[in-house]
Amino acid sequence: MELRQTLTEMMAQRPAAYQALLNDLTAMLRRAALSGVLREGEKMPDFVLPDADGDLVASDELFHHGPLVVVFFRGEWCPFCCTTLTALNDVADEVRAAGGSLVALSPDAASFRSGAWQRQGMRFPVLTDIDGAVGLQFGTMFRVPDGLRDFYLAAGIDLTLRHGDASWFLPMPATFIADTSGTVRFAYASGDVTDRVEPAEIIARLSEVAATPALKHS
Amino acid sequence: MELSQIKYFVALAQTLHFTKAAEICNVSQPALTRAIQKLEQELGGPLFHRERSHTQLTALGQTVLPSLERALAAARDARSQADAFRRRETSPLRIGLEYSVPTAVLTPILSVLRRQNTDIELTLRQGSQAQLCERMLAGEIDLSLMVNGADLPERLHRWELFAERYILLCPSEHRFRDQERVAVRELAEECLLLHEDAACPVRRFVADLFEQAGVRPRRQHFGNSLEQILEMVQASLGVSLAGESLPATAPVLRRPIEMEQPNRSIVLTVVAGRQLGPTPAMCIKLMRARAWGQDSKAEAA
Repeated sequence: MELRQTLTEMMAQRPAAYQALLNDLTAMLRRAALSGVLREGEKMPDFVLPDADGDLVASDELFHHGPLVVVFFRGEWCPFCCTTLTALNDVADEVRAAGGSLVALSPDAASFRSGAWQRQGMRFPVLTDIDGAVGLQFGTMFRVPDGLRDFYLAAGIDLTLRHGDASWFLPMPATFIADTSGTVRFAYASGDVTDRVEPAEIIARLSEVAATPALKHS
Repeated sequence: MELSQIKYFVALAQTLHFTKAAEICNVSQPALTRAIQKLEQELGGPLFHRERSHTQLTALGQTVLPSLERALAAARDARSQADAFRRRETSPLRIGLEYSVPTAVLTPILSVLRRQNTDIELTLRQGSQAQLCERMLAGEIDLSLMVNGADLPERLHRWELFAERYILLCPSEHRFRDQERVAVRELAEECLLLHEDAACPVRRFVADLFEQAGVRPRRQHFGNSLEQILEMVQASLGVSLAGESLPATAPVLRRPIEMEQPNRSIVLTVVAGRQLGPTPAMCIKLMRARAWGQDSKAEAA
């Protein structure tokens, strides 16, 4: 089954109140925030972040291997994100075969402190974007609206504790592919938590970028 | 949110003047106004009261200002960390450790930083919580690891890294060798090796322990560092207590203490809003993201 279809079916199982809050969020992001997300042709911001083993991973070094796929996700507490990461884990070898690398970034520091990603045997680096500092440069971060925050708190999801910061900023799910010069060649964010780029499409896009010369960024 | 929107918002919140804020940010006033309006759309309401001669932050504006100031600083720091990494540059790293927090806690973090660049200029200082706070506020220390830290000044930001219990340390040939755990009364019969500074968390813990049990220690010796106290234990001068995160490399016996005890938290503290060099800033990120508890479990296993 396609990832989008799986996520849509998962969403249908959620409480109606949650679905309504997420629909409002999507509408708000489309109205006010999507235009600020990093675009094709722009330079991907450099980053160096801790991975699940506590080592540092630098975008600069990943570009030595080829093009880079960067996926933003909300956190281990989000079932849509976990399903997406599992689907990406299944294509980790294909990413390497296509001549590139893949990293996933989240401000969910608690999942790194608890060792969740080590236990899940991730086959690509999952990086802690502490305080969303890198997500801010990609334009993916937004402040969780009050109604949604109350819903999460009632469900036991306290982002103040998870992030170690009281801002309640989250990244919208987003996927970027940059060539070895750091130029963004593919960018996708729709503001909808169930709308992610299919792993097969990531591989196809990555292969395309790997097969063409790196571009100069704007 | 776009970084430019955040930058304009923070400038306007500081100046409360559209023309001045636009000047500071080097944009036209209409561009700044449009960016603020867009941010208001996203955050769900006006951030400023716009009156003829006055611009004031709304309640929402006041609420989001600290978060957006931190966001701007975090993004700026992340950029300088990436630049420093690419150029293999470091900045001095000055770490404070409260008495009884073992230096070895830093080992995994320092080895990651040294893999990036072996030229780290590292300074470690031990001290009481009050001494370390003073030095941090004076800008002499970048970050500190402290115990509990419930009464820290508001200007210090704190993150709990891990929680641990106190354990007993005794010489390898000690009579406690064959005991699975040791009662407080038995502990009081021993010579206790403690830090000379009464503000040491272990010393305060032991004082409370004996007071609750209604006993007094038979004898005490004092040292001036955890390392010295460990050497005194090895030399069979007495017994001492430490947090269980103390690496098991020292040739001393470790025994649990028979009592209900609250965990002690090891907290990372930094001065809120202070701009740090890329190396201390990276060190803080590594500490905040680390699976501390998992390490000690792995070592125990």
